[in-house]
Amino acid sequence: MSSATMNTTASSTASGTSSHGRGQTIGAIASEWTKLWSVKATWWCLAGSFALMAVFAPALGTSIANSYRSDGDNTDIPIAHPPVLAINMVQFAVIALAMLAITAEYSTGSIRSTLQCVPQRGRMLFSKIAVIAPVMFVAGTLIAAVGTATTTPLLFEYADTNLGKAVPTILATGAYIALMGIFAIGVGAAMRSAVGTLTTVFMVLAGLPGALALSSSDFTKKILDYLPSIAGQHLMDGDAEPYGRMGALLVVLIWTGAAVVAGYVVLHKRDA
Amino acid sequence: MITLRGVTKRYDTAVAVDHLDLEIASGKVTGFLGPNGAGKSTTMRMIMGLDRPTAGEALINGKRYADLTHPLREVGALLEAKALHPGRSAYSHLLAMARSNGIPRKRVEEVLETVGLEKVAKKKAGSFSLGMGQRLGIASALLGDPQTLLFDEPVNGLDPDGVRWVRELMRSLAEEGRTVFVSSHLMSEMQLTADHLVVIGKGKLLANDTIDQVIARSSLTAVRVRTPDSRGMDDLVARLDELSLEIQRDSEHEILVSGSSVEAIGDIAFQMNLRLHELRVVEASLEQAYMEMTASSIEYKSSKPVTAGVAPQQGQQQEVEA
Ligand SMILES: Nc1ncnc2c1ncn2[C@@H]1O[C@H](COP(=O)(O)OP(=O)(O)O)[C@@H](O)[C@H]1O
Ligand SMILES: [Mg+2]
Repeated sequence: MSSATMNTTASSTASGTSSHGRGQTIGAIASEWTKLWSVKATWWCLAGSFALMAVFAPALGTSIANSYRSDGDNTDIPIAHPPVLAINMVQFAVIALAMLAITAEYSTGSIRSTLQCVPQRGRMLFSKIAVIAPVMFVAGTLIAAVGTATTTPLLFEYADTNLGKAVPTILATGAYIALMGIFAIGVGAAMRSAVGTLTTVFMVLAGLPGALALSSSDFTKKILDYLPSIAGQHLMDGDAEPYGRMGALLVVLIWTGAAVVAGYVVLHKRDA
Repeated sequence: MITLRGVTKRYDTAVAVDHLDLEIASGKVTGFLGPNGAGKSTTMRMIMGLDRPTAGEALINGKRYADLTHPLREVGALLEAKALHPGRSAYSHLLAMARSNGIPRKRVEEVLETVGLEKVAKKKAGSFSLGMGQRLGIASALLGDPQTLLFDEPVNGLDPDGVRWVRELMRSLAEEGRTVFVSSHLMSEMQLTADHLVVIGKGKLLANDTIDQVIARSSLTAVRVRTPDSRGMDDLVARLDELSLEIQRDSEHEILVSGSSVEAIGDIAFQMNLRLHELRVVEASLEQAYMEMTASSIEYKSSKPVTAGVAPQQGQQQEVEA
């Protein structure tokens, strides 16, 4: 290994590196795609989120059905609803994938390699989002579908199997997860450290709503609806109240946009 | 070609790079030398667009790094700190880089072969030894077949075979007409590799010269005088003392004078009618010239520093006929 060949670059011109016009944004996206699938963490996060959904959604569905049964309740449960509830937990496994796509670059130093390849900060951030968002959408949709499929038989007579309700919910779950992936990338670019990012994302998605839910004031209840995870629940369930599905989407989009702007500003200002 | 114009990097605590003006030409190996903390890595990061200069600009072929269309095809760099994910294979790491700049996959295999990592290409980069890591870093620098190459302390962690390989690699890259800019804190390393030296200390430019010029400029370069006439030698020493030259009396018949020239001392000896058996320049070693230059700018002095004017020790010097 030590005395490698010396014809360092003699053959390189032959491969015509300069004749290829690709690269730029398309190249940056292709590069992010390659990076995403060449680390184990991606696969662990995906496997973990499917496993969590397969446990939580049926458990939640069963417990709702049981409580309806004991209360003699006659309401039906939309089959995609238990997975939506489960998303409160499961989302962190999927979002971890998006978080790692940026924070692992800082913790390992590979961000320097990334920025050598794609020195324009905005393009770098965009290419990460362009890869993560569709992957998250597909993952979120499939997770919701798996959750629905595993839960439906356990709801028995309480199952509301209206696909006109279930399919939009499943797709909205994909959209919510995709947007939270982008949110996590923005926060990650702004915070850089994995611990800082995880803490922030967890606080915003779970800690804050948990704390506010304890309060009995109407005002805090209103605020709650404008947090991304609660708005996300309205988005996925398609609730008419308090602002409808499109309103819920807008709330989540605003959080996502703010995080991306914060990430971009930090990327632009700070040294790599 | 790399151009630095008034490049300055100020951190909260200190100035790491202080107004560097430089042109690094193609077709040769330019050594970038300075003690630890001199600002070499910071300068290189600024050239690569990773760190933003506080003032001034760093250009590659007249452009800022971020303005290069396909940066990897124009500039390759091995930077000081590890810049890869330990869980990714060497091959995937290079492939991701190649894709970002539209470089064909075949080229990944080529550079892996060039650095001798083709057999471990599918292994995780995190399992690599320091030397293999350096080779992978060099492979990524070569990936885009760039005209300009930067290497920050490339021989760190390499075994003697690897060191020799890197040296030959840099020489051959320069011979192909490329710009090769390589940093080191060891002059001994640069002496064997570089054509041209840029020396910095505490972020400031100390020298930008060929190796010969650096040596000639050292005050440690001295004149050896030998005469069979020990009485005459006493007189000569007295005379040179009057001119307040630094003199080291090695024996009754031999002295070493710094800060003068063979011509001046020869003339004085002639005027004094002194027979000389030896009159010649004793060059400082490159190492000594470097130590002298940077003595005042070393951040953490280890032992007694070599300061200007201290008589050089014999044996460490290269004796050259005048
Ligand atoms: N990110 C940073 N923040 C603060 N100081 C820094 C930073 N990076 C480097 N420095 C300081 O800048 C100086 C130059 O460092 P460096 O460029 O690494 O020197 P060299 O590579 O020549 O050893 C050192 O004093 C170092 O402590
Ligand atoms: Mg350094």
